Amino acid sequence: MIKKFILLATITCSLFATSCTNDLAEQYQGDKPVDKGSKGVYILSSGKWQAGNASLAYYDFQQGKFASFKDGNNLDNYDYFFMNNKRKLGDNANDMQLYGSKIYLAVSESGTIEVLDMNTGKSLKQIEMKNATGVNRKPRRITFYKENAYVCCFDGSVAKIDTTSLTVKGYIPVGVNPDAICCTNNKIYVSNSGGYSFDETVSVIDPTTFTEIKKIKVRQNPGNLGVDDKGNLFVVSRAKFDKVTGDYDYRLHYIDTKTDEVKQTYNYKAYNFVISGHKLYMYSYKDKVVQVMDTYTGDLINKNFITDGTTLTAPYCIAIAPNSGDVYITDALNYSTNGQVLCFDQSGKCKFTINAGGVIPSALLFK
Amino acid sequence: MTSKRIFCALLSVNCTLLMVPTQCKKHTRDMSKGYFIALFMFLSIFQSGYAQKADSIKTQMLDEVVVKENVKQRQSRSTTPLQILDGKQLKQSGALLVSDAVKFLSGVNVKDYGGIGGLKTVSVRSLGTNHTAVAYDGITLTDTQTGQIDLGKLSLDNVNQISLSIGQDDNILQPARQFASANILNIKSSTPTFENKSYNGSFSLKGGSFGLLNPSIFIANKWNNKLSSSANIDYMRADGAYPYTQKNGDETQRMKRVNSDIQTLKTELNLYSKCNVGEEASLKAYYFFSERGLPSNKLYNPRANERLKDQNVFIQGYYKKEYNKQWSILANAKYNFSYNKYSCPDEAVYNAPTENNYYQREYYVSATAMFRPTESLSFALANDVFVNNMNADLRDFAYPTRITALNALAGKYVTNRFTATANLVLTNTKEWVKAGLPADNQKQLSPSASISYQLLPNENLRMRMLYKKTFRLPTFNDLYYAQMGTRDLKPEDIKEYNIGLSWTKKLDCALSSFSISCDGFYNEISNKIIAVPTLNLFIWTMRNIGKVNIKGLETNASATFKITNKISLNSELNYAYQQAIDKTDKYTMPYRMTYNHQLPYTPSHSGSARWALSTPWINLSYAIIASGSRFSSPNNLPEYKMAGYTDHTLSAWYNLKIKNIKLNIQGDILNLFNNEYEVIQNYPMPGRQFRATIKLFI
Repeated sequence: MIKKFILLATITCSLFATSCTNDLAEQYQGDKPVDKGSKGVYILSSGKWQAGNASLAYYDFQQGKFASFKDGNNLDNYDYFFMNNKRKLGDNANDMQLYGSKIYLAVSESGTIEVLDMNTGKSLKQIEMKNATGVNRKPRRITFYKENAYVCCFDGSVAKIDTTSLTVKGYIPVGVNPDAICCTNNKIYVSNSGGYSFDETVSVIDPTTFTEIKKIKVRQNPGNLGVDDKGNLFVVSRAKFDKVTGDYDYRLHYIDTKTDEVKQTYNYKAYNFVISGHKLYMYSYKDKVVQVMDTYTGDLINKNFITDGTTLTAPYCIAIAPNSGDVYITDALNYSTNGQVLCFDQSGKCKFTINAGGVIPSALLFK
Repeated sequence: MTSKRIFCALLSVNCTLLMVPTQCKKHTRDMSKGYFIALFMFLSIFQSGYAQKADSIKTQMLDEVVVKENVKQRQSRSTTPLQILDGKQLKQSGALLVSDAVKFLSGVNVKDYGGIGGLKTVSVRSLGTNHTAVAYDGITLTDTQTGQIDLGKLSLDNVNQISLSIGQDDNILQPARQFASANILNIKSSTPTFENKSYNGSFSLKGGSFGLLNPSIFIANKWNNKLSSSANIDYMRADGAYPYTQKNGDETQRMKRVNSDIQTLKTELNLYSKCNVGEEASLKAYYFFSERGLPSNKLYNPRANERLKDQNVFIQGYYKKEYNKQWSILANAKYNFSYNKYSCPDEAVYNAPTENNYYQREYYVSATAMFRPTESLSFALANDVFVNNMNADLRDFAYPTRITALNALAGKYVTNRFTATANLVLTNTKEWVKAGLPADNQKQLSPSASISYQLLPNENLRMRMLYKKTFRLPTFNDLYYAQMGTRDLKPEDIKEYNIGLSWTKKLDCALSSFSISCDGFYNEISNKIIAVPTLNLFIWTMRNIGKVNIKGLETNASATFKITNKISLNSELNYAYQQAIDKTDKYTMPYRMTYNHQLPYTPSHSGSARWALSTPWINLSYAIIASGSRFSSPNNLPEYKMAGYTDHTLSAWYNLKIKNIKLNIQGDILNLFNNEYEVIQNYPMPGRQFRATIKLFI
């Protein structure tokens, strides 16, 4: 009887406990990337919200591989920040900008700005971005003007940081939930997205007096900002997400920085965009189509930039390599697995795809 | 006479429902009217049942041994895998909350955010939280907003039994809802027993590490032979500021958990009535309040200030009557109100602080009739109707109302060696919203069948098999939440298959009894509702795209050793193997990375063990929970691997009697070896804790 039981149990066991999964080999490895214009590219990944896994990866084009090291378990680790600093970057890294030989990283949920020496990758300082009561200001985006860094924070403020002493010189209030910041015509511009309450302004800051001098009314939910080679300012307003169309109702506004007024409004689907020279590369949220606009004329010069049929799942950041003019788009995929970085040449063909080395690739920087 | 009336009413209810045209909206109003008339007729029959002649009954006192024997028998005869933790086992586990106790059940994965205040939800056999119904004294607890029940909200004080059925319980005289979920966790509160007294009471005081203080009072009264009542108040507080080690590269930092404090107050009033032979009724009023912090562990930003306030009131009652050998009925009703307030003062820098209020209501009625034409054959028809609505002070909120009708037809055939049950549940829903478009109305049929067969005539060795197809409706959050909800979601479908063996035996040697069971299972989830990104991390949208295949094996073994006449050792071992594989479309890019990967936070191997030594002087128990490694991401990369862990608990208790007062003293050491681990990434669990309880019975 016991024998029978054992036999039956064995049959049941073998029926259900079959193969085990270890298809890590199926993981996307990437093509052979070449970009002759740059030495390498830094890929900042935001990480999952509150998972503390923001990371920085560095892909070296000359060596054709990621900077990596062996971790405690003898596994390859691609976190360039961890490699050089022996600690983690933090929670939710949003932006990465270069000034002189220093890289500035805005780590939003950790409430820090990490300043890295570009040559060594070592953190020169971790600047705390908290208010007097210790509440995180959530630094989001960074820009520079005359030896100072200006950081817009999601708590509705802009910080001024001395790039030599790396100390915060002060904060000023702007609008609700600032989303982007940039500098042109000796002025700092901040888009006040408004979060769920929908602000509709762009704040103008005079950096010499560090005061807000004007609020330009654009439209609901202003987002990304960009400047072309003539110093003209562009801002997108996304209004509210429309559940019926499954998309935003975008407008692209051209702001004259002499008068600080909206001069022209275009009906383009610029969910996110980047400007190189006078070409504005943008993509839409729903159909993820990349289009190119001429900022001088406002005409659409390319209705579908990608020519080889490459599809994007969740484009998160778009950047142009300064020397080659290649268009880089990061794809966050499902926002919980490692993202990807796709590189397109000027003809819109995908040159290569590499693993972003982190979750939600949020910014790129070329060396 | 009566039975005929019941049957006619039941038929009419069922016919009206079956004839509901799903497409034709014109008829829906007529149908609901007809439906309510039929239900009213049905319910009114119970009223007439009350008028029957009174016949007093002597309260039967069941010996604890007999109860235990029945539990074992129920488990072994069950056609579906059934795990039971009785009052004594709950005591041995050293558990404070229901969520602590269910960790000892095999195949159960508790998502624990740590500490007393941290959210704790349960997933059985990797099906996800929303597929496990949680019933408290026979009626399910619901949350239509999230579909999740936080088991951390339920304290174990005054809980007498916890049982988990895969599929459903074999008892077919139960509400339709009990048939309608993939698994059901039944929590039973203790019903008062009166020996030669007309009253009964206890006072208990619990204290422990990290500011735990938990006084509770229980009073029961026997008013006459037919009526008794009980009341209990339970207050609990804890700081939850436990230390943990944060490892960050070469640096290890000793941190203290912040914003982890909790205060809860629970009161319950019960009225029990044994009106006549085979007739009983009960009424329960329940109030729960809690206020707690929501801990977080953001790197370089230790501040956490989010708060959550919960309030829950419900009144529920049942009436059960056995008219004769053939006919019995059961009626249930419940009104439930729950309120949550989320607040975060920290956003108030230049912007307004966040505060959201959520209100939910449920109105529930259920009626079941059981017919037993022969000794071994019985049928039941259960009809449930419930209305859920939700209210929130969110921008553009939809204010949804959902009416759900469940009709379950169940059959059961029992002989000495063979048991078979089958049921068919029909679900109909209709939904309204004040703003925007409501979700589609649903009409679904879910069948289930299970058998148990005693393989040998003189040996309690049984084989069982189960098939169940069921689903879960999208929650209000899935459908309507801010920018995230998707209104055209379909229900998430589940198929469960189980085959198992169980063997129980009583022996005349030192090993006085043992039981072993082993179940293999295969589950399929399709149309899984998963969140996919839209704008950024804060705004996601819900889609029906997930597919998961789950294969697994569960074994439970228990043995009792009689060392001497007065000393016995009880030992239990549970082990589960689970392979929960993501099969979501491998041809779309994001899922190519997760295709064939194990679901996050699902260990392949997990188990628990418990040893309890009973002596006339002291009782000792030692319990272990163990989990193998698992991944924190759906993409099973090595960097997302989380190490396995074990958690050990040592408990000792002692009963003494001073005159008429019985005293029980218990001491527990939890996480004995001070193991540092996380169940959810970045939410450390507490280290070693001490707890002492003194309970006084009068």
